[in-house]
Amino acid sequence: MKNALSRHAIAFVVTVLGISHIITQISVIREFINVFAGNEVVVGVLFALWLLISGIGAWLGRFFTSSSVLLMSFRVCLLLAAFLPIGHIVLIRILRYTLFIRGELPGIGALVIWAFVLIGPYCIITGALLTMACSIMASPGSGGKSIGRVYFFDNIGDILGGLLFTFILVHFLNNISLLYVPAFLCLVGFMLVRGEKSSAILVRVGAGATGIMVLILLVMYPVDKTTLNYLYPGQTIIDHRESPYGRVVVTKNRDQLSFFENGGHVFSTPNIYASEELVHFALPQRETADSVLLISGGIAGTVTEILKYDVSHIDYVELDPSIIEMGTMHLDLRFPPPVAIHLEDGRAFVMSVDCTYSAVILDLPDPSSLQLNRFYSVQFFRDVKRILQPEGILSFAVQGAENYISDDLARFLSTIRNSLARVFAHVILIPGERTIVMASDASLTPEVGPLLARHNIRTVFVNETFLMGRVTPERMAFIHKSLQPTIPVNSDFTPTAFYYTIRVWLSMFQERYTVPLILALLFFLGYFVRSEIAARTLFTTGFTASSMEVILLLGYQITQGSLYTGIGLIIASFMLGLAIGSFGANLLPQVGYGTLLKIEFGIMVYLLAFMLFLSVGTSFAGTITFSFLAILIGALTGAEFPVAGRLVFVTPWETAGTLYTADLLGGSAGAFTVSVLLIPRIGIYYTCIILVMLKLLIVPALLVKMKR
Amino acid sequence: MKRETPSSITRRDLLKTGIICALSCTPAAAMAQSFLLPGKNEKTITRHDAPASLWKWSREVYFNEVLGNGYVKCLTCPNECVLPPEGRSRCLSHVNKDGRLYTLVYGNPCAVHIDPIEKKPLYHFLPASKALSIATTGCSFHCLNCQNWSISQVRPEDVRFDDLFPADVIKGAVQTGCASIAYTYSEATTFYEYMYDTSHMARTHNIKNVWITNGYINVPPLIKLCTTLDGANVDIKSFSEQTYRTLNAGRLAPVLRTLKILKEHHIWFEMTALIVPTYTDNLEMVRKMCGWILENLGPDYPLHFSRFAPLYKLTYLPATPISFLEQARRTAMEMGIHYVYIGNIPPADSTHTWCPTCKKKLIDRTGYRVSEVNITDGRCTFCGEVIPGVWT
Repeated sequence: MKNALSRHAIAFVVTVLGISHIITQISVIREFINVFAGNEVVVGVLFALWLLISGIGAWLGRFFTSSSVLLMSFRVCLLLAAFLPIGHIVLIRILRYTLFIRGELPGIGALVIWAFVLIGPYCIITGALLTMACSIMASPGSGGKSIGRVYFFDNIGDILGGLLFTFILVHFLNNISLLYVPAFLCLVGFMLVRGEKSSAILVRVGAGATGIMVLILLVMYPVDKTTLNYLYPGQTIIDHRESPYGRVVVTKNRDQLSFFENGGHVFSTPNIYASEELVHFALPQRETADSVLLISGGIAGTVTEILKYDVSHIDYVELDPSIIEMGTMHLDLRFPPPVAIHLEDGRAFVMSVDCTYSAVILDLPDPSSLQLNRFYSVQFFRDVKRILQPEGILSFAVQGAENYISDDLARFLSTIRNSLARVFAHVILIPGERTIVMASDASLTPEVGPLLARHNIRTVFVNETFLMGRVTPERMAFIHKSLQPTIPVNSDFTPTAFYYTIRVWLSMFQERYTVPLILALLFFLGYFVRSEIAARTLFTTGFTASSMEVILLLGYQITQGSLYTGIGLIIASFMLGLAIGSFGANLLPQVGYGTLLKIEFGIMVYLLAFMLFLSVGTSFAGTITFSFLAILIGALTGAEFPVAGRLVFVTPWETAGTLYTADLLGGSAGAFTVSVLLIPRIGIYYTCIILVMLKLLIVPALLVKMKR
Repeated sequence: MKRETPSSITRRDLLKTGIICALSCTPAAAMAQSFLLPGKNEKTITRHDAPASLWKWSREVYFNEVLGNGYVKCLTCPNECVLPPEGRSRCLSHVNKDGRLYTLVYGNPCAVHIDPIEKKPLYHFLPASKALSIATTGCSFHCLNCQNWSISQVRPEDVRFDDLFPADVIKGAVQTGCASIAYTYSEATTFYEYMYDTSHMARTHNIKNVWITNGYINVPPLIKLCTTLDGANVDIKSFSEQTYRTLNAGRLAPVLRTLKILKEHHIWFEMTALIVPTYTDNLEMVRKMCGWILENLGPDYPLHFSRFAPLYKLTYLPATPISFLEQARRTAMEMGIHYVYIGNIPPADSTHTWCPTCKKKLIDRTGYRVSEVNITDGRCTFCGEVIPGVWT
């Protein structure tokens, strides 16, 4: 590059790219979850694709070597990086309505294909931009140091972007509006990058200014509201809010209000059936039900049903304040004095509360994510038992089927039943579209008709007139015959219930996954075998880093609850670790394969120590512990990239392309494998062992390289 | 800065890039063919999917045509699957073995329950009686909101089932005091042979037979079935061919033909119309459907409007507003249909049976419970009006 100013501009642009990348990633993935489906498989697939396509982009970036082509391409890509994210979200919403069957949950196959189309362009461009930035930033004789610098500034951008999103943007802006911020920064970056000819300044500033004008026009036009309407045909959106926990939309169709959370239908008014099911199987079981803890679902009608009993106290816990606000505003709900609302994580509440309850009712979605699985684990059930009175009841509803229980569903119900049976003396499952699950240390009965009469409770659906067609002896016998005592219990760190939920979900699509999975495995294996040792090391490090990020986030949520700012803090800590690691590595005067080997050992020691930490128990660990763990693994993995860059330096574009590709492909493989396959099947402990083994694969080759 | 190597992507580089990109997308490319058009809902015949050998629960399909070259055509339903050797039908229940067409669902029901007849729903058929309800796997349709997808969209080999041949079914019905046998849950037409033989045998034991169906059946099998049938509930999933294709992977015309044939053969039937928001919550469509019913079937066959709830794959739609269901019922009654009910809603007047002449309550239903019947010898107890249905 001509002078230092340009390199500073590139440093700024790379930081901006980091900001844009992280904000766009969160925003686009949130949108995908909203529009298509919101479980861990979809998130895992999207993250994997995101990193995979970015890896391909980084690899393509190596072909831009001529300085004039390079600078021009860099600037064009910057312009595209400014506007593509907004375009992606608009396109996701419009294509969902026009291409897919209205209201249908698409299968994984369609989702993968369309994710390629819908997130591909941005990922290709940002991946390529990183490699191009390394080429532009390189000065004669700097060797691989420019690569380390770009990696460092990219990490700084990630941290800033993460913090900006977590603590500011998500609280004030909708999913499209918040993308105007990185777009603006990209346009500023565009204007700062100088070309080969000084006369180009007019063109550069002119184009940048035009871009900013377009952005201002977009800000003035209600893009979000207009495009959101595509997702709710036949309804009028009367309110929608983007909270850190997702998007809540309230629609009106005639006199009916419907609540959607993250795209999925939660309930439509009147929602009598579901609310009655949750409450009136459990509460009439005992003579009195004086105090009740309700985790979520209060606005859907559950509180109203509980209030039919002579309760002196109801603690209603809801994580997302916007749910309560929208419920009270649109449903004209009032929570009378026995009801105390607590805006916090349900699990954290259960762990900290010091009173006892006659009943604990969970009104939560099925454990379709690792986060939700925490409410169905044996550890959580033990915590619930601690706050239940001696004859108290835990009650909740999970997926079910009225007429036939498939093998996958039977396994799911079995892990729930077996986990409860570890803690409670009596467990009962009542078949239906939603299976009602109750557990207690005192006896329970499915025959609630007479009990309701004794309590003088009037219900619409949960009474003998309807139950005679649902809770029949044959159906009760069938569900109990379907349950398998050998299915392992669901625990925090081996989330079996999550695994079976996903299996039931996948079974809806009649798609065959073996061939695509084998092809993906062959692709990654082929890449791993064919790449040289530094790239191979970075591949495993990318794999480990993304895996540990998932593991730490899960561990944090289990012990501390799912508080959004806390999760943001853990992610930011990880990014900070990456920046510290890369900064430190850039300062090293000399690097060799021994340096890489030392870092590899460091990662292995970290993983073994983490396993020890899991064995000893994580209950004492708080935000500080998890942040420290995130910084540590971030620093270890972040240090490798600059070291490898200097070790295998050929040309900036070639080396950067190779290393970024390795890092991103490893991250891609890790994101999917760990969250979707390894943790649900073998648990966190054994996942760590596999990560150690993966790292051990690298050691012999590094030792050989060292000796040479 | 002076570059070490001059610019440019060579043709070789481009080719290499293209190949690597293509390879990297291989998993996607492999799936692309079937997923690039996600807006389609259709069932397909599967090749090489017949089991290695037939089993105890196999029978030759009653209505089929041998085509030569090992191919065979199923004539049970309008899908008329032409199966290659070792192929499997769209309904997943029929296979071609050695050039002959076999059903794999004869005597192996995966769901066996005793339900109130009101649950089918059949409101004019032996009120307050019990129906032994059986189902095997399989369906000729693929409804995106199917309540029983875990049996309707899977192969018989993939479920746990009972060993229950027709004689055992009859025995079960007698022992449990069921007045009828209901062929239900999945699509009974796909286990036609099992249904026909069971219903034929049931008649000799004075047990009635009810067919809960999508009405998608060819004429000859239907006419044969009419000889053993006592009642049916036929879904009219929409009154639009396009919606049938999109939501159900089926067609409307054969369903309407079924209704006409049932009437011609004096089989009692009731109709269920599920109102799906944005697809069938359309008063014009309701009027069109009622017009057709009045013109072709008359005013006496009950029509049940049912409230949609997000299920299976159709989970990104809200439930049906109850006010629309009420309006649809009013429209149908104003047009002249005598008995119009609403299902899946809190008990209301629309769940009771009212005399079309004296307007008094004939049957009081709450949930599945019948607490009052004012029908004597098939007539209104109050005014003597003939109330159509199967009452004894």
